[in-house]
Amino acid sequence: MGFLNYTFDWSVLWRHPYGNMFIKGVVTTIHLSLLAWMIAVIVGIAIGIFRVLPIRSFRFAGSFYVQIFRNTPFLVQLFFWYFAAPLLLPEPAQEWLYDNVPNYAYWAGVAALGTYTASRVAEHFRSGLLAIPHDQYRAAYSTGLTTMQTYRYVIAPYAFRIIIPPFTTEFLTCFKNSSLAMTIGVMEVTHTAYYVDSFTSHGLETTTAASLVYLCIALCVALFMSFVEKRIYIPGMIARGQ
Amino acid sequence: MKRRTNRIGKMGFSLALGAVCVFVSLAVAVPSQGENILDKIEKTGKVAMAFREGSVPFGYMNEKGEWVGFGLDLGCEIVNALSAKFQKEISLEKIPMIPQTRIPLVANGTVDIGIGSTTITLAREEVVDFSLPYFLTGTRLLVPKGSPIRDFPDLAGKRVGMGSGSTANIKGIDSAMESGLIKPACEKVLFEEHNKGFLALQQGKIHAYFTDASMLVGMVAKAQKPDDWEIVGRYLTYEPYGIILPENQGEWRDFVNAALIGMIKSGRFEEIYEKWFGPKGEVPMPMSTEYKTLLKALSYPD
Amino acid sequence: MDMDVIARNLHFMLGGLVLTFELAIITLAGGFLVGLILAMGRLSSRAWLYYPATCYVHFFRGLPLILVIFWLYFLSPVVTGRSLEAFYAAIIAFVVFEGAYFAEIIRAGIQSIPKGQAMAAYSTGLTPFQCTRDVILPQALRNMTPALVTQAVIIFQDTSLAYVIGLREFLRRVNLVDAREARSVELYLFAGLLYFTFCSAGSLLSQRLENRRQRNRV
Repeated sequence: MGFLNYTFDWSVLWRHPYGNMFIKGVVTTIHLSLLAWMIAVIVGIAIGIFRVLPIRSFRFAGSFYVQIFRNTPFLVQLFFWYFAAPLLLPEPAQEWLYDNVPNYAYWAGVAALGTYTASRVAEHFRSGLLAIPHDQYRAAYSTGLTTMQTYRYVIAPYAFRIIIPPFTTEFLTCFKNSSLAMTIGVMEVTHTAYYVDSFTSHGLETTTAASLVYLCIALCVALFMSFVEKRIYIPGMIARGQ
Repeated sequence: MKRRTNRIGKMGFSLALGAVCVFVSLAVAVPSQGENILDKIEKTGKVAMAFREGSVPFGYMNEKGEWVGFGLDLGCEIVNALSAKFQKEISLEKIPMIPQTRIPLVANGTVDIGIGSTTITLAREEVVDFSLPYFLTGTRLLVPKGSPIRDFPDLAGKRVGMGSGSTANIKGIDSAMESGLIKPACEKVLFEEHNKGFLALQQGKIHAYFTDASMLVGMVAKAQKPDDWEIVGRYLTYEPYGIILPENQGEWRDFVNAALIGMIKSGRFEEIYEKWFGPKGEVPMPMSTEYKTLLKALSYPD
Repeated sequence: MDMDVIARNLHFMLGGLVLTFELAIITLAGGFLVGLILAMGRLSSRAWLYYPATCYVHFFRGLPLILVIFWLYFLSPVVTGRSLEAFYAAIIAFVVFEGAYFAEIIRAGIQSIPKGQAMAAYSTGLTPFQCTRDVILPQALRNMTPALVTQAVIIFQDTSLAYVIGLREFLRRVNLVDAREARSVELYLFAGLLYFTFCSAGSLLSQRLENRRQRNRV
């Protein structure tokens, strides 16, 4: 049926000047997603705690944050941080920002990815806390532990193990979502793949290379985390049947 | 414990093996020699064409949500020519394309032809074929009215926006920087779509926007206050647009070229141009002298 | 601000919602099914079930969705010799991709059930299948409801990525109107609000379901 006139040319991946572009793209992807992840974990855990505190206004603020960021597409949020957020500043501040922050799109990307991922981290953190049966608290209190001790020695280690799989997923999602920063012009690895494609028309090779980069990094993270998961496994929580 | 670590190792191995398999199959996927497209069209009675849908006025969605444009009108003319050749109704299958997908769509055979606003470049010629150039424009600069930027040398040290898929433009500005026309170098800011770049220009994120004059005219026409903007500078590069065609389909390319030449000679091409670029068109842009010369050169005798 | 642009193009843009919903619902159902099968494989002690499922999950969790769609659409002609229709290409890419996510959610949910539950079920003479269906899954589902809803909301938003292969769903249509009208801020604000409305409705509904379940729990 289909007829194909496609010749593969893998040399576009290392040929000058594309080789350097790819290396830069990979590096950008990595530090963009790591910075965003740091924001996400700090903000996300804070918001997650807000959501289970017995103070109403904190709970409300927490759930407001989550609802806003979770319920709008990330593409729209990127657009907001890049185009709309600076408009909230007075005009001289805007000019200063564009003239003195050399790579404004990059920082808009970090902010967008960090705050967006935070809303998801918060939800996982909260459901991790909620998944712990009340008996655990009761049992801990009945042995005479204080609230602080209960959290420190019983609940936190338990919750930590419950949230590892979803946090791993979230990190990988954050890492991959960094690819959407290309829509505001950040030169990360997906954008580099598209960019080199538009020069060489060898998009299949470049997207394959970009996919491989994501896969390798994700595989390393996933293997490491599943190793951690098994190292800290507590007998009694159902694991894979062995 | 040991068994578990072992398992991880095994899993890593099988994953690596899987990845290798995928790549081997990719590398050896020998492109099958395609059948003649004209024969296929005659046999199936269908032709698949790709058009732009977000590039005014080459292919876009109008107020009523209909897919229209300069490229689509050219496509219809080619379908008419096909129907006349085979003496039967040939139906048109319209498929959308974006700058990133236009080349692969044609190269992998999903469509038989791609009509958009694609500059013919030698790099693209390596992967696909092009028809004769049917549209000619050049790259210039869009700036706010009264901007100190009047021409390309004034860009030195400024931030200049451009489309990330517009490779001909990017190469043009790169060579202008290398040749010393723009010194010290300007900062390139890339945008996925021209209107995002225009928005950034309105907000002062960039000092100028650089692309084909045909696009710049369209951007000004859409602005809330068109009078606030002006297009300045010489033509830095010429941009001849061509219809994207699959490689090694000589008969099909000859047919498309003949249809184009026929349109130009019959005056039909000028009618379509007037419809979109005339004073009442979506993007008013009188034909440049160079463009008129190009069309004259294309009026091959029978 | 020029809100008129939204009124002018409302009909065209809302027309894309049908496709958005269609994509989301099919993906949700298909993805959950694929995920359930994969999760069982991931939890199985049989190597021939465990390794393929694990490889699958890690493979697709490691790729950005935008690249999966691109690959499937442009590589299928190179490998199989014919091209897939854009709609089916998108559906397959979504189901295949989201299945990996569902698998991990379901696995985590099942693992959050104390092992004693399974032991108790077996000791009453239930078969492994009955135990999973009647004892483990109902409890696991309750634990994973928040994560499932999060995923459903993500899928609804992810459908917008189908634009890379030219599917005219809602966000793509907003984008196309923007290409003609050049009113990005207004249009994207509108898009954001609309997504927000639908997604929050979904989240609220699920919260109520979750609360009701928890009240019923003794």
